[in-house]
Amino acid sequence: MDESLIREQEAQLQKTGRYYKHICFMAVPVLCMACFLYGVRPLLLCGIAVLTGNLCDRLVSLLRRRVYQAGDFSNESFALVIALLMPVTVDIYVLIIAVLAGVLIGKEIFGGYGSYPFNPAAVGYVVAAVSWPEQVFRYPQPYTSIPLWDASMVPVSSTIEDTLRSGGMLNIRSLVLSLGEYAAPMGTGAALVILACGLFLWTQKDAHMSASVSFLLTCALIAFFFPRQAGLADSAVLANILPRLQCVRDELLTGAILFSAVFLLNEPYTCVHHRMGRILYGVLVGVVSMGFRYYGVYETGVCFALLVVNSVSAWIDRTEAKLYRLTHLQADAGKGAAQ
Amino acid sequence: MRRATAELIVKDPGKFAHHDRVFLNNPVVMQGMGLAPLVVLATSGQNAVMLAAAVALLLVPSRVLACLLSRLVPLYDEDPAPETLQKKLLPRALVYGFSTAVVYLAVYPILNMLFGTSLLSLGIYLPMLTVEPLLTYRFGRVQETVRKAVSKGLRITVGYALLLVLLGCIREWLAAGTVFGMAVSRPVLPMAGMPAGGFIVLGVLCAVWRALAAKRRAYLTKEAGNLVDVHSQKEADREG
Repeated sequence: MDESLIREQEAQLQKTGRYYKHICFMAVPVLCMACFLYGVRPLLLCGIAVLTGNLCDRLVSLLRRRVYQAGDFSNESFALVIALLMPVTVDIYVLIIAVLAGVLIGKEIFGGYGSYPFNPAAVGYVVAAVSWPEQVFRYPQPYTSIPLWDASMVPVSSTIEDTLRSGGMLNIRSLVLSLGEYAAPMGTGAALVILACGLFLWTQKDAHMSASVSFLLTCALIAFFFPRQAGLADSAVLANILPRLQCVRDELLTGAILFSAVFLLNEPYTCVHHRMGRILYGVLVGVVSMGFRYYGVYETGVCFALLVVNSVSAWIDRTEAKLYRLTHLQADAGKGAAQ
Repeated sequence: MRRATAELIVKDPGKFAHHDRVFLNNPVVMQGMGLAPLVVLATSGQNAVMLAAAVALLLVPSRVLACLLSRLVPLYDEDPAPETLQKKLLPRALVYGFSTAVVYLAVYPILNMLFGTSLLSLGIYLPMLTVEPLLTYRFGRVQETVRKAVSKGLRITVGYALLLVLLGCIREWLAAGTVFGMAVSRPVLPMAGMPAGGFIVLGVLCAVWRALAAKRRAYLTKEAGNLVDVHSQKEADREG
C-alpha cells in the first residue's frame, strides 16, 4: 500500500477516530434495551457482527500489507449499526453477509478509512434488505421468548408498516412507542434511549444538530402536511391538527428515522462538512426518505435515501465552498471600491 | 515460449499485452465495454451462453461488413485533423451501426432456432447489441484490413464470451445457489441476480482479473527477459 496513503489514513484516524469509538459506546445502551425486550439474542448478534467487522479489518490489513490499527473502531461501529437495524430474529448468516458487504464493499473497496462516498453501514443494510426482505422487514413482538441460535420458528410480522402503508393509524400509546415495546428492528424502537445517545454524541461534537434536526424537521413537516393516513391529506390543516400530529409521531418513531438521525446521518466522511450544506443534506435525506417510505417497497427507506443523497454530498460541499468564495470576493471588492 | 514472442515481449510488453484480448487486455475488464448485457442479463449460465452465442454470431461478420463498407468513407490518415475527423465520424458510425443491424437480421433466426422461447428472456438487450460499443467502437479508429477485422473480432469474441459465461455462472451461484440449473449450495447473495448486484459482482471480478493479469504480465516479461538472455548467451558462446 502507498506510504503517503497510509500516513494520510493515520492522520484521519487521529482526527475522526473518536466518532466511531463513541458510536460503539452508544450502541451499548441501545443494545441493553434490546436485551431487555428480546432476551440474550441481540447480544449474540451484536457480538457476531463486531467480530466479523474486526476480522475484516485484520484481513484487509494483511492483504494490504499494513499494520492493523487497534484504535480504528470504524468497522466495529458499522457492524453494530447494521446489527441494531436488523430484527432480532434475523438469520446469523444474513447478518454476517450484511456486515461483510458494508465493510468490504462499502468501505474497503473504495480505499479504506475515510475514502468511502457512501455510508458503509447503509450499504450493508441495503444489501441484506434487498437480498432477504422476508427476514429483514418482519419483526417479532417484544417479550417473546426467542431461541438463541435458530429463531426461524418465532412468529414475526410487519404490522406497523402494513398499517401505515394502508392509510391507517397506529393504535399504540406514545410511551410504548418511545420505549420500543412494539415489533421493530432490535435497536431502533427505544426512542428515549436513542435520544439520550444523540445528546451524548452532540455534547461530544460527534453529531451535528444542523443535519439531524433538519432531517427530522423535514420528515415531520412532510408527515404533517402530506400525511398518508386515509382522509387526512384532503382535510383542512387546522381542523385536524391532533391526528396530523399523531401522524408525525408515528412516522418519526417508526422506520428507524430517529435511529438514523443519530447513528447514520452524521458519519464524518459521508456527511456534508459545512453548516448550510449540512442543513440542505438533512433536508434532502428527509425528503428522499419520506419518498421511499410513501412510495417505496421497503420500510426502512432512510438507508436507501442516505445512499442516494451521499452521491451528491461532496457536490454540496464544493458548491457551498464556491458560493462562499464568490460572495466573499464580491464583499471584498465592494470594500476595496468604498475605500 | 517462442523466441520471437519473447523478443516481442522484451521489446514492447505493452504491445504484446494489447494483442491479447482474452486475458491480458480483455475488452470488458480493461476497457469497460459491453457492460449493459453483462450487468442486466448475465444473471444465469444459460442467459450468458445465449448472449455469448449472439455476440459470437454478430461480432465477426458485422465487423467484416463494416470494415468493407467503411472504405467508402475512409479516414485516410492515421492521425487526421479534428475537423476532418468530425466530418467522417457520423457516416462511419452509421455504417458500423447499420452493418451490425443487417447482420442481426440474419442472426436472429439462427438464435431463435437454437434457443427458442428462452431467447425472449433477453428482452430489448438482444437487439440493443447492434449499438453496443463492443461491436461498433471501431468506427472512429483507423481503417483496418479484413484479415485484421476477422482476427481481432475472433479474439474479442472469445474474451467477451469467456467473461460472460464466468460472470453468469458466478451470479447464478450467488443468487440461486445453482450453476446451469444444478444445485451447488444455498443462495449466497440473492442480490447478485439484480442489476445492482451485477455491478458489484462484475466490479469484484474485474479487480481480481486485473490483479491476475498484472501478475501474469510481470511473469511473462521476466520469463521473456530470461529467455532472450539465454539465447544471446548461446549466440555469444557459438560465436566465441
